[in-house]
Amino acid sequence: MAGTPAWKDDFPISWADDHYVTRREFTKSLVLVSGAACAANGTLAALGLRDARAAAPEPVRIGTVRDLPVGGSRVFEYPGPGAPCLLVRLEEDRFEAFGQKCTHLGCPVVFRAATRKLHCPCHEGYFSAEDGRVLAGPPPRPLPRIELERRGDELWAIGIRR
Amino acid sequence: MGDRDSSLRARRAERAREMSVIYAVMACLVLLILVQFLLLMAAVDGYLAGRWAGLLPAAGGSALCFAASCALVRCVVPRREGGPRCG
Repeated sequence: MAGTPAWKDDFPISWADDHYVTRREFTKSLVLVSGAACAANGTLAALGLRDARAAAPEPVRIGTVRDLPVGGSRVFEYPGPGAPCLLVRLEEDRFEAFGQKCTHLGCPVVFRAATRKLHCPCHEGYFSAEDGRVLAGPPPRPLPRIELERRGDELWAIGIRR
Repeated sequence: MGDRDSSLRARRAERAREMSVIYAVMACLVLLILVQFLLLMAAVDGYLAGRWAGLLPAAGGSALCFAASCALVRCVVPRREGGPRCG
């Protein structure tokens, strides 16, 4: 013991021993990871239930039919501020509206009247202006479709179909 | 001398059996966690897309995996008297 430094008597546990993880401890930590994944899944399910039970959004007036020429488009917010949507007029009596955020990474899509497509310029994603389905590019899902109602000369957004 | 050898062999065999159980449990846990991550990915995708119908089954599947993990880990934690035994 004469050659042993004093600090070794005070701190007899070596760094390596202190950080040694046994197989059993590792196995128990795997169960913690499993519990965390289960909790995350449960949280998502709870959030989904809450959203599904949420009241339907109030109808919002977008504008009048005369405001938008055939082949034109217009941005509006629905169901509230911070949720941009795009109204397009495909034909004289045909209007369609979609959420404007690309389902890939959330860039705003724009309407290309010549090709009747919605284009995401960030990563060259293309959606159909007829129904919002993905035509090309990386977007994984169609654009959410906004349900429209015509009240006389006015266009109203009345719901979202995903 | 013979008794000591046989006792040593028995201890080694017991140790080898326990190690096999631990590795088997670890492999099963890793597989269960992989399944849970797949379910989580599907749930996140469904939530972002507004397809809420698949969220509850995914959460149920994940809970089943977690329950299986808890049952499996009881095979490798130090056993108390009368505790469950595996293998």
